[in-house]
Amino acid sequence: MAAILPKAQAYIDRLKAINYDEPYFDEDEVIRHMKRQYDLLGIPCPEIVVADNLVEGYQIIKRMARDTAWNTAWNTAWGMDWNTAWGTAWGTAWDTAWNTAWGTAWDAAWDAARGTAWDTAWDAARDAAYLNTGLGGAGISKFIGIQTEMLEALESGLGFYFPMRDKLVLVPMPRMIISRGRLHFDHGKAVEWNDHTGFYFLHGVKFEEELYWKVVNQELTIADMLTGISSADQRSVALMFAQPEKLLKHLKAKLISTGSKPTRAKEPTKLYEVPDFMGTGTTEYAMTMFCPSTARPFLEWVEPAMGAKGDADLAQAAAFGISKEHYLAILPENEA
Amino acid sequence: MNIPLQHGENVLIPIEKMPDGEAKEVKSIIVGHSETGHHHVLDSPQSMRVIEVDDRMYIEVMFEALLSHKKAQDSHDTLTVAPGIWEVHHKLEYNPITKLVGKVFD
Repeated sequence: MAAILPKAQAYIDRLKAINYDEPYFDEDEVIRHMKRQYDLLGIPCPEIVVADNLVEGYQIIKRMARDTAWNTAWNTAWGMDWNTAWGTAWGTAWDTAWNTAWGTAWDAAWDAARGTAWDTAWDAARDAAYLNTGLGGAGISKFIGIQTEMLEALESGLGFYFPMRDKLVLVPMPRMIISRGRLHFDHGKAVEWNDHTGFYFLHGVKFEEELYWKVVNQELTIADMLTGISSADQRSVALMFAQPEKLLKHLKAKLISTGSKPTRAKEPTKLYEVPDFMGTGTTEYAMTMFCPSTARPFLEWVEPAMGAKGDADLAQAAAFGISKEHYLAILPENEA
Repeated sequence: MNIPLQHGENVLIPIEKMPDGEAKEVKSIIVGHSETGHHHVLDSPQSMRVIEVDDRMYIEVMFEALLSHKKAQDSHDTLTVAPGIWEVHHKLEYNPITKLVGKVFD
């Protein structure tokens, strides 16, 4: 695998440093960097409109003509250097930049509302890849100059942009809550603009508002989930939010061990065996417990080798990577 | 000897000595990261020594410290962490679909 050159790494690091948790939008800076791109491309910048959110931006542009001048200028900016650079751009930097810019929030955001996020992220990733070629033709230099302006626009809070013939529509970066590399928030919108427009996601899967709240508030039966949710992705996520006792009953789980250590809700950990898990023919193990702060019941799966030992306290200790003696010595949170 | 403490998906185990490694001195340290920003944070009025070895954190607490959960609702109680040397463990969960083991976040 090709190494990442320092210039490309610096670019990737800047992409990674963009703060999705608490984005800010410096409108003047974003506009300055976007105008500079038009200057570098040698085409006039149309009227700039800033939308509050992606939906509004999309509403503005959906009946407009795409700016062919923009596309042409971009495509010709490279000249003959394009093919050379293209052939050598693939490699580590591409993968890294792609994963950074695109692989997490962007794909989900793209699914939520079609826009030009793909262009933005893809171009940013492409630039890092080209920087990694070490090539230095005039076309490449020009392109990288343009792309640096784009990176700086992203750093100034640009989320999406629509380069249309008569208008350039800009949309700020929303606040995005990303957990384990996926959009996920179980207390509200995972993607949200300042005007509260946004989208609900659980484990990277987008939900409409009504279904989202039914899932997180555990208002659905297992039968509701299996027969009433047509999307397989949404169905899988909904099952993860099912009330433990309902899910275990549905899975025909068998209680094999009750822990000796009560939790805050006075209920000990219970370990269950789930034969023929979801029709796979394999035996899986799950344990149920209560959240020490909210007393809400929840379920965690246990590695089969550990579950087969049939000891609920040992399964808990192993999940924490500590001995059973240490686990048993822990005081309930409200008594510590 | 102190007794083990649990704070959500994090457990602090008392140990007798710090491991070898480069130590940093801080008055505040995130002992349990949350990608939603709801970190578990240990704060002390006096500097604590922190060493991270093989993805495991060790903390020498010199003066009573407070372990709090930076979450507005459904947050864990704030615990007092006594002076001593602590090894931090994070809970792992198995996924029966992917067969992978990953950290639990709350």
